[in-house]
Amino acid sequence: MIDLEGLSFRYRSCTLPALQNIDLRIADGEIFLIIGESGSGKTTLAKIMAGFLGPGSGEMEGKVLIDGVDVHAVPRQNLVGLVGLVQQDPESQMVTLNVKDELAFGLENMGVGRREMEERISWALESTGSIGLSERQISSLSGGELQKVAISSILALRPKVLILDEPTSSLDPRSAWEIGDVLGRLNSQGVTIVVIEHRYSWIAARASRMAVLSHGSVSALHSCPLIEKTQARSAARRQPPKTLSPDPLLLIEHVSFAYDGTEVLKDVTLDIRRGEMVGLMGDNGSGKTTLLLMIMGMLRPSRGQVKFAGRRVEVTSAIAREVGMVFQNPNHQIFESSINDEILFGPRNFGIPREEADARLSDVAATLGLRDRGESSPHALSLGEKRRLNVASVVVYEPHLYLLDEPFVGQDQGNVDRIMAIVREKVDRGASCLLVTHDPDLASESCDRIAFLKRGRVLVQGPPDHVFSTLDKEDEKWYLPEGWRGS
Amino acid sequence: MVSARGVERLLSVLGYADGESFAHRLDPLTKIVILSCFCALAVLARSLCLMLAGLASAFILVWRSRVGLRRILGRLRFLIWLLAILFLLQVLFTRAGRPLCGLDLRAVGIGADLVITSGGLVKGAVMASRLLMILISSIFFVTTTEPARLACSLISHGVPYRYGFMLVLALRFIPIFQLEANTVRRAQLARGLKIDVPGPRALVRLARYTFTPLIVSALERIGTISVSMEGRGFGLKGRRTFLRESRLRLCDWAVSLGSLGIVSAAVVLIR
Repeated sequence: MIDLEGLSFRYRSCTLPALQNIDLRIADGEIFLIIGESGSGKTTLAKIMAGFLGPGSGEMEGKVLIDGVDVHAVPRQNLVGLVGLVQQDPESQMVTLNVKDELAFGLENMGVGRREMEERISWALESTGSIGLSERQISSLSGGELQKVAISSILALRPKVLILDEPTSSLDPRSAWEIGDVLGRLNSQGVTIVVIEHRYSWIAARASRMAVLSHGSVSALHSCPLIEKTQARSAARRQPPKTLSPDPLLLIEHVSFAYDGTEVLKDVTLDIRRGEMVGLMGDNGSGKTTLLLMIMGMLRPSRGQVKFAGRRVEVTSAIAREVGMVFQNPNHQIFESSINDEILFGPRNFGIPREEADARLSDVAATLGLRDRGESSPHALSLGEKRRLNVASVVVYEPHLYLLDEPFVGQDQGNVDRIMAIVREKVDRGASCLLVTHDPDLASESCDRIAFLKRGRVLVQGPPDHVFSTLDKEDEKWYLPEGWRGS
Repeated sequence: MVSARGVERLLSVLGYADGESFAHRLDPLTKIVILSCFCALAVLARSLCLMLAGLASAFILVWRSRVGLRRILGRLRFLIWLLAILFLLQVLFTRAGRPLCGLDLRAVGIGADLVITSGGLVKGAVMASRLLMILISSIFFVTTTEPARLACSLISHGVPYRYGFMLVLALRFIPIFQLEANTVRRAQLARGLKIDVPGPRALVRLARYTFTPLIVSALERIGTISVSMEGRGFGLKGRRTFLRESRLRLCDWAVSLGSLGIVSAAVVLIR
């Protein structure tokens, strides 16, 4: 049904092709998985297949045929009932203020009558298990709910093919598996589904085949179901530090916090010692980012206190030199016009001598693979490179405590390994790290302890084995590492 | 000074508050007429009694709409200072009217007398009431009007769809940009950028470090939005249909004409 015939594509602004000579045939009713490292051309392929990129946006050879229709021979608006694309960031795709209007948007554009519109909206929401969301405001939806509404809004147009570009990259594991169930249901109704992902355990069992994209070409084609291999990130689980200082570097005591009357954190107690890497896990909205902002002194607890190095945290400026935080969105924390200046932004503000800062810059940039591009604009970097730059910009002033808020969203394994290597090195030398992650395998291998937040409370904390054993008993199966699942 | 968090909380309180009151059920166009009437009264009225009557009506409207008047007023406490300054300036510098008391300031080196007059007091009260009336009637409009219904009403009553849709997009993304600006501010603080350093150079630096990440983020969003819109047939030639339609009911006509009539009569007869 989907035929890619000798497809090559090069962006006008680039010298190297993004896609090279791809021949692929995806049959009706398949769930087809496309994986590949960052920059391998996955999103470009998705946009070309959906008709958003074509000869007008670069140099293109070959054809994409869906149901015999050359998707680049007709205006994009005419492909509405044939192929739909769900993008990575569900929030940015929403163009109206409430769920029903969002689903109606495409139907209104197509001139569908009101009665049929109501029927299609109900059908689409029921198909994704989101009928209960129909009267909700978009701003009140969680990440998982937003993604279900994004899928429903395309589904209401009844496309034969649904392409999803990293639909679960910003979702917690529970929501990711729910999206897997939704896609399974749609597929059983006859929709052909193409999923592009880095982490694919949530869909592997449902997919019929999988293509691996490498440097713009299909390097391998596998049959599914496949079990996602947790690559040998580290040869063995991190060895716990031999001696821990008796005094905690960070002490969070019975902290609670509410946003406009809604309690986000409830009686949270946690400590981190020097040389410790602690994982912080939990669903989207469980209070992880709020806790990090509180540690930084950016939010004040309504009850309890946060102490850093024995002193109560009152204002950010008092601890910023010693506590480095990497925020979620890479673009929100890039301020300068060159990579070198960006890395030196912190050292300059903190008054670190120029020679010392330059020496550190050289080391950090080399370790994180950014040395050769020091004078380039940081905004020209790929998502993975921007993430490495964010980490470099904090590591360079060598804080005592690292707060990393989901640094691996949308990252391939190579990037994860590079970032983890430098953080581990700092922790081995006596720094501490609080790592927010949705990846149980990574947490299991890299963290000395894990704290799991559920609806603002610490459900369990302790060594990884103890935490996963408790999560297993609590039926939080989404958060179990590969070895635990199915055991 | 109002903190960024304070502004964020204020804006969250001043958004639409879901409800079933009579005001909520009125068509947004009717509420635009009511808001315009209050603004016209605030600008045209000179009589303190008329101004106070208008102000009382605005308060009653917000109170009857059950949108949390006490909570809103709590968030508006900082405006009391603004109103007080406005009032004081009029009292101190208006000489018209009957002198009530005076103070000889020549002894402290200011070569003029300070005279407080009845005219100054009235003018100060009128000016403060004027600002407060515009503010309270705007709160009435914003808290009782669902933005999506506002856009639908405007489109149904003749505003071209693209302009109505622009309003919806703006309402959809303004809160997101506010949150992003807050995150950028936090990221600056975390990496040691000092913002309380006075001087134009520091201000320019701060603006640069704030706008650069926000613009990059906005450009990325624009790319995603345009794919999302194009992928759902935005701009497709042919007649566009609408899920919702807005029609003025009898009560909308009655309220609109009543408001226009009362305000016109009051301004002409009393002013």
